Amino acid sequence: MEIREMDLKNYCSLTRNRFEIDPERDAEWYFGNRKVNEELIKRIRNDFLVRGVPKCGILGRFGFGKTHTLCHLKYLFQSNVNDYPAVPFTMRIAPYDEGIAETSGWQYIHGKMLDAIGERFLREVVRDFDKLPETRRGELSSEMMKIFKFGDENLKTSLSNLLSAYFLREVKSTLAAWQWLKADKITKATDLGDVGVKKTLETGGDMLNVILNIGNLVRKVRKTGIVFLMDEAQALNEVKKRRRNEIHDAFLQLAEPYNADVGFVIAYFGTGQQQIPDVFSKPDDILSRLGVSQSNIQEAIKDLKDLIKTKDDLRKFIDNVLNGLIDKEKARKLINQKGLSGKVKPQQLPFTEEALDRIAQVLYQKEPNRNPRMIINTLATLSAEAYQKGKAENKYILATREFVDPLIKDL
Amino acid sequence: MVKKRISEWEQKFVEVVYEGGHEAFFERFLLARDIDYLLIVSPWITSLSNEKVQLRDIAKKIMREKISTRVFMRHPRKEPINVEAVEIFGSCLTVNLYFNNELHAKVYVCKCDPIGFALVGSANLSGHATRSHEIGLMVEGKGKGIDIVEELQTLGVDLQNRCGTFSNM
Repeated sequence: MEIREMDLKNYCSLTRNRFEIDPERDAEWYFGNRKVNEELIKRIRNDFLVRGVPKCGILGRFGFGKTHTLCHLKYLFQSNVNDYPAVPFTMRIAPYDEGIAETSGWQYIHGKMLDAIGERFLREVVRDFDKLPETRRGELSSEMMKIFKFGDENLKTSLSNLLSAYFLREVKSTLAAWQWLKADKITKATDLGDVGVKKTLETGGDMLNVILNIGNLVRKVRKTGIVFLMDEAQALNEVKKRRRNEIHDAFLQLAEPYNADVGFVIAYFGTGQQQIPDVFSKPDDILSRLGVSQSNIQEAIKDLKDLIKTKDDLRKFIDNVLNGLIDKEKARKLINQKGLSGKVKPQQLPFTEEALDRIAQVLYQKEPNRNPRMIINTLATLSAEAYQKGKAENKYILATREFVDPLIKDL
Repeated sequence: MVKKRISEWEQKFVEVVYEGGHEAFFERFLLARDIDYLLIVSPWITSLSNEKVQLRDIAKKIMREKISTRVFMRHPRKEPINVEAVEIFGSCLTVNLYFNNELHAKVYVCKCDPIGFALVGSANLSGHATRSHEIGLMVEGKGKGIDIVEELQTLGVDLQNRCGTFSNM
């Protein structure tokens, strides 16, 4: 094939159309300093033993891989239930805005948690609970109520009646049920009254008790907990005094040792540990339940800046990215066809070794550039430049040091 | 003799900082690795509460990574606004505090892997400076900037000879 007819995918022998890493699709990969990954995994595995479910967090600036790390955790939880016995649910806390009633308070976060759980999962759990030999004899809602540990009698009764009535069989719309679960305004309250719902969720505590009871249900049915992977939690910095107690108390309850079924891994934007939102870190009663204090907070909230610590880490990160994106066999053939043998390695196409060293040197010089997003963007831009030039001249242009130098002068 | 070619990247060793005062410097400081030395020269220093980077963040990193640090400021008896900063830095074992009431320079230097960077400008290390009309030059430790960063580091010795000392070392 002539160079002028090639697309970027063929030119760079990519395994995908564009030079990109997708946090969801590439969740299996984890790049950079393995120590960070190991420390985080160690914390999570310890949490399963000590707290029943993970209760920890990650911290990093934009582009440091918070979302990718959460996706990687989700992948681990889903692919290895024995080591990570918790069903993961991903959610974004942002946008949080107390100027808008619908995007503020614990109810907003609670709604996001329930949306993350979703109807299909809730149905599966209710149906699986119904099939358990030990619960088959009694009435479903009474059996369910026995395993709920949180909230007053009316809340437990209402939740068990509602789940039994709406989520076992698909005979009626679950709209009213979701409105109740999410503490929204209920449009047809009579429907709920008919199935035995006795109270509405008035406080953040009530709402959290619903989530904790769902956690009890999952534990009973699946023998695992549930864990919320909460992204963009820096939005909690917007929590003002009026909502502060409610949200702090909800996180405190999640952190309490008596909750061993509902965990969280919370991801914040920030550079310093001081940037952990006050609503979470002050007073430090939540932190103390996570086994840390202000002085050793990094034991529970891992800082992703450690992902790329040295120039060597950065260079390895580049190699890992290229290794994951390039189809080596295809690259080898292309190198032979175009007479590029000896000039470039298949796993680095279209970059030469010298160019990659230079890119690593330039990116490493400035601290804000030492992050996965900047590195991937730089590689993507440079490979696109080589492709465009190659296409225009109808010959294979390698990204050599001389080629990349003027393009990275502003980094 | 072959003259070493300096790339455009190495030629761009200095950048004008128009906004945020010292913020750009200390954000980088918090991300920096293998820091040998930190120099802070600012007549007025506050706790930077409610700022993106707070003085406690800086102090925490200094303590955790045992960074040899020299801080030059005016005496808190003359400038009571400095009291909290003295308390915070005073609790860091690797910080040497020096007082000079004639001080008016604002210089921040971080010597770290691979070379380091420095900010020279009008911004004090205070919250007010992040919102005022300040201007500064951020010097990168690359190309000719290497020599400038190194020269600025020596300020730590020069100024020391003209100051009273409050030291934890």
